[in-house]
Amino acid sequence: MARFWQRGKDRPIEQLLRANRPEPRDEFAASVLSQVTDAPAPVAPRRTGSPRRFALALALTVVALGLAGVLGGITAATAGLGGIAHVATKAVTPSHTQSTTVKTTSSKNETNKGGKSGDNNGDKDDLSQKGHDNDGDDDDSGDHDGDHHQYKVGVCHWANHKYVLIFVSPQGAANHLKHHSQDKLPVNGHC
Amino acid sequence: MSPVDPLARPEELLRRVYAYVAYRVHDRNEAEDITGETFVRAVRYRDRYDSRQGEPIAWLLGIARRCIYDASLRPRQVSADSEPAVGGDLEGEVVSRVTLASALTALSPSDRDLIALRYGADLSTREIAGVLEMRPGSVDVALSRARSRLKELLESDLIHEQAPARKIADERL
Repeated sequence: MARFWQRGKDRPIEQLLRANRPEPRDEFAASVLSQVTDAPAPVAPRRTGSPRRFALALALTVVALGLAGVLGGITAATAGLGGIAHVATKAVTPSHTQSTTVKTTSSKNETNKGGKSGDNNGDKDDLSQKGHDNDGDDDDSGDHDGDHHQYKVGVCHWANHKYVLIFVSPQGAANHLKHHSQDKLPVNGHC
Repeated sequence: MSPVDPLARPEELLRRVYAYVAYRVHDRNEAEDITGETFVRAVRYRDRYDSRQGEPIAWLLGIARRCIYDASLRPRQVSADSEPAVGGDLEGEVVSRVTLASALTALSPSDRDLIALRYGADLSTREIAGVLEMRPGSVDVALSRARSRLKELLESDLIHEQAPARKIADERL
């Protein structure tokens, strides 16, 4: 033994270990390899489904985004049209209604005034409707609202030794001229 | 399930695993039994192999180490015709191989494991570190010490005196 090692001691220990590396017998190796090769190999998981699922998810996402975009556009367009229609309705309807209302109100007022003045003194009725005294001495000339005097007639009423321009209904103006001898119609809007 | 078959190259794996086991147990019949059991388990659990955990040889050596440990727990049957696993039939090399087998038997189990992993399974230092869960630097140091001890045993005349007694004790791990 010592002689063997003396013979091989110059060889590195690694070379000795590699040179004497055990090798399996052929019969044993064949039996083990047959066991391995006969056994079914593991089945690799299908990775083709992942791209398919990804493509499906991508397609669904695109469709959803498209629908959202279309619906959002329709909604925005509808809202815009609704806004335009609202503005148009608001622009057209109120003016028409207002003018009608004014006319109606004026006509109604005129009708009522006329009805009342037909029975009573129109001058007093007109003055009382404006919240003034019935003697006609109050200065009514300051109330010169265009709408308010649209269907009224100016009359130069003699009161307190001077003429005061008042606006009364046509019937009231006629009554003024009838019952007040000094009252007269204004000339160019002035008494 | 891992898509990689760890037993795709069984011939190479068989040689490396058998060499490792033979360096560990030193008995041809026992080495074949343990190697066969290793591959039976590998075939059974090949679906559980995860390539991210390491190379197939490392996975197989892990199984082989477990099989060696399980074999060490069983009562050992020493047959009369048992022969050293580290050896062959070439007459000119018989003496040297028997001497090497005796020296390996005299090593400690950890040194023998390192020698078997390095020169039997032909693992690199990094692979050995992965199998033994050690740092590569520590593996190099431990492997160097194991080689030194083996060299001392080969140079010593105590191999023949100590080997038969220590062989049985060490192979029980």
